[in-house]
Amino acid sequence: MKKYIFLDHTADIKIWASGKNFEEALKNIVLATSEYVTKSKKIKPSQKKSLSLENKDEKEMIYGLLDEIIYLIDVENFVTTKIQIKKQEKHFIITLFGNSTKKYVSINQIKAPTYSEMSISRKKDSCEITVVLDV
Amino acid sequence: MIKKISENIWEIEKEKDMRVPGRIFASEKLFEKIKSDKTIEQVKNVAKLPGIVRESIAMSDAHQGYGFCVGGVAAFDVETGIISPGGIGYDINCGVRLLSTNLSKEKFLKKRALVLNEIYKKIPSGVGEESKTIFSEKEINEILEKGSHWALERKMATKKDIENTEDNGKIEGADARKVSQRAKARGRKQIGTLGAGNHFIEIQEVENIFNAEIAKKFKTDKKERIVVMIHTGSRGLGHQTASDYIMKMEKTYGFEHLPDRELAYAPINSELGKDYRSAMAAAANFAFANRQIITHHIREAFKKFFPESKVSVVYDIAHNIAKFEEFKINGKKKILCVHRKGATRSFGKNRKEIPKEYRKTGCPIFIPGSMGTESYVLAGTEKAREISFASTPHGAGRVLSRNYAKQTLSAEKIRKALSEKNIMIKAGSEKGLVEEAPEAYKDVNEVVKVGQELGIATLVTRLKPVAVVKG
Repeated sequence: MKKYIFLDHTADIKIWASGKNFEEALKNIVLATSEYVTKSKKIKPSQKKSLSLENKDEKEMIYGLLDEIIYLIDVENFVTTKIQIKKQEKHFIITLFGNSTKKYVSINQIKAPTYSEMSISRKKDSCEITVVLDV
Repeated sequence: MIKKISENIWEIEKEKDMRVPGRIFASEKLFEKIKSDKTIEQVKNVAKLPGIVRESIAMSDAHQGYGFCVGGVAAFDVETGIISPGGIGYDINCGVRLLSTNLSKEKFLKKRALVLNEIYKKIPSGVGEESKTIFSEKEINEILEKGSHWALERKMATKKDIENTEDNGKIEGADARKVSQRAKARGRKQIGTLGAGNHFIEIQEVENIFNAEIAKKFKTDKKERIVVMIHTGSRGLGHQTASDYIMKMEKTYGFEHLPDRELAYAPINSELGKDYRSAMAAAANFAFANRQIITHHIREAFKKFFPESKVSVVYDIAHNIAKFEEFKINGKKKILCVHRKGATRSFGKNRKEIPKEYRKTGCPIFIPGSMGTESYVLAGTEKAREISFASTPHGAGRVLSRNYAKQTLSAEKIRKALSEKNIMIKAGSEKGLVEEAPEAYKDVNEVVKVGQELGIATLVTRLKPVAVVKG
């Protein structure tokens, strides 16, 4: 089964991702986002960033994580290509792996995450997430 | 239930928790396209928001957005209503500026490639392209509070440029302290840059004149005269400001009651509502300054190859913004907070908000087509105030998804088609070229025709592209 798919959307980018649990599905959303930003060019990650996000509302957490990834591209020239997510009681401890934007010939821009059509659906042994990014 | 109530006007009847009906301005042809995505559902959702007045509107170029549709207009009562970042868009004060020149097409074509390269070199476009100067926080704060006046102080603007910018390039009430450090960090590197997506600088010729008298006032009255259109906004600073306040409004007011989480809002007169207004005004000022700095670089590029050139600002107008404006509702004058997301203000004669020299014609309105197609100059009307909260469309409006465009169109073909039309292009990426291909957009002629038939804008001039810079 595919980890993620880019779905049709008139103006923006819509991503569907699946995983065995919430964290894995979210990881796949990040991989898809990275594929979009890097135009599918694969470079081994050489830098990392750590952050912690509140584990209160899952959609807010997804929005917050994507907001951080976009911010890092614009401000620190850091492109996320891989992610580790550790769930703790009140927080998610996140490690982002990636490279400088300068290592890519060109990258795609994302303006912002959105809550538009955002969904999380859990099945017996899997979790699916859909997000729309404003590009 | 949707019914056609007259030519080009469709009404979505009030149902369930809608506070007002919905209204769509479109021809049969454009309405078919509007029905194909979630636009109508989004118009209905906006109709459910507190304090909405009269109706929730979608323009003829509308397509699905997030929360509000793009091409959406909604007016809210100042006492009971709300302000919503989703009703303004992530790109706060995305807008269009038109520059007129004293050059003929014939003359310009001789040095077209040189001018285009110079502009491309001076104005970073595309992604990850940083501004040549990275500003300090103090400087960013000044830009946020002074807008185009900041550029005037640094001799990158003329007094006339400022007079011919909406709100004189500076919205009052802007407060840099209400814009987050994160947003400022994104803005520091991006002032004076074009950005990617549908943003562009297009050098055009006056191709057709529909209203000679107004065209003269708008300096677009000579055929084959060269003009320059700039379409960009507040870049990452605006996007971050929108995200920041959506998150804040959710935290303060919750989201369970919202028909769509992207419609997070705050009451207009609440603390948070006021904070967002100050932040929105600051981000809008950043966008005015951005278009002004770009104007300065374009002026210099023209001067370099045409020392005799004179480049002046016709007008600069936002299409992603909320404004406080006076309207007559049930015979009574009222100040309303009008959200325009992908819609342009259409003010007719004598409105005090528009520059003096346009008070006899109505304000200039610019509707860009898609890459390689014609753009239009129009004038605002009194009729727009009556039926569309003084609003008119903002562009052609997307119709093909980016995915679909990429799968079916090729950069090579698009380049060929553009060169057959004798349009020179500099694009940041092949992908941008394909995604923004003319085929991906609605027909701008049809969009403009509906506006003219409804009387919400008067056709003035048609412009045809000669050279394009894309992000």
